[in-house]
Amino acid sequence: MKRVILIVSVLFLLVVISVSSVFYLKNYKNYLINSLETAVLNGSEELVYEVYESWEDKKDILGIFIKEERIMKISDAIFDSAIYFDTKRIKKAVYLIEELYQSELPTLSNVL
Amino acid sequence: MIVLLRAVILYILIVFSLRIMGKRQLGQLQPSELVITILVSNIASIPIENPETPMLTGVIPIVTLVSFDLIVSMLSLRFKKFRTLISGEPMVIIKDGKIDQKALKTLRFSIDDLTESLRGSGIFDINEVAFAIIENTGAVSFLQKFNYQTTTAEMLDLKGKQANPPIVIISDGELIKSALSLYNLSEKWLSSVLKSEKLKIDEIFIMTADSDRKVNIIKKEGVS
Repeated sequence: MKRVILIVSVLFLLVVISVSSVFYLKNYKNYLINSLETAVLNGSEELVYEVYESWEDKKDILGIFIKEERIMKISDAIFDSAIYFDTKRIKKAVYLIEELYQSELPTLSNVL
Repeated sequence: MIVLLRAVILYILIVFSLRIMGKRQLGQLQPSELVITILVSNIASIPIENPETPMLTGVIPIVTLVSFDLIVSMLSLRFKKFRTLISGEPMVIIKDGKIDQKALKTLRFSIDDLTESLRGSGIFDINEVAFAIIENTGAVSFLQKFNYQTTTAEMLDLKGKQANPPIVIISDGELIKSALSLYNLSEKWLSSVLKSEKLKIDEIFIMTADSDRKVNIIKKEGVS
């Protein structure tokens, strides 16, 4: 009986961690995209740089459950956006961030 | 360095997982257990081979699969129908000396497979077999006809005392206290035996004893 409780607890914990990671990613994605889009609208280079700094802080946490290759792609895109403040590069960063989030969702197409 | 650490962590995880899954030899694994064993070993290799892949992509599937396997085995233990669904049932392929060819066909078990299994059990003539059953693991169990069975004490109407197997009480210089209690042997008795042999525990490679207090001692190399 104890073993059953332990197994169910472990599985429950895994589900909680998995669901939490999706919500964490969702909230962070919303912050990044909103900030980048606001920066484009207002022409604010400082805001893009803030996004860059925030990403540098958070990417190690994301790296716990996301492949490094994808993190690096977004890092490059955000870095370019911060350096050049180019609308196209910012849009690319937004696209990559959204794509990352969509690929982490537990949808049928992702699972299959 | 990362690869080394990951290999160590995953090795510990796999050993722990297989330990939890229980003691069976490879040939005795049920189909679901075999699947888990293969999957776990393949999944574990992914984060080791590719340092860019997060460790969790190895750890989470392994923990999930092992947990599910434990749930399946517990349900199998509890419900016969579930056990049959997951593991199948043993099938008789030789009954009263006659081969059930239909059963062999159903199992896709050829006559060559059957004779090979026979030879593996030391039987070279199929006519010696009264019953043969294919277990869920794919192993074949045989019962020979009476005339070909190994003679037993019962057949010869011999009376004897049931012998208990010797157990290891000292292994590589260390005393196994739980083994002493199995045959109600005391440490005082052990000390007297060692004293008569002029040996200490740490000088002994292996020491066994049975319920009749008959001991067998092998000293470590270099001990006179």
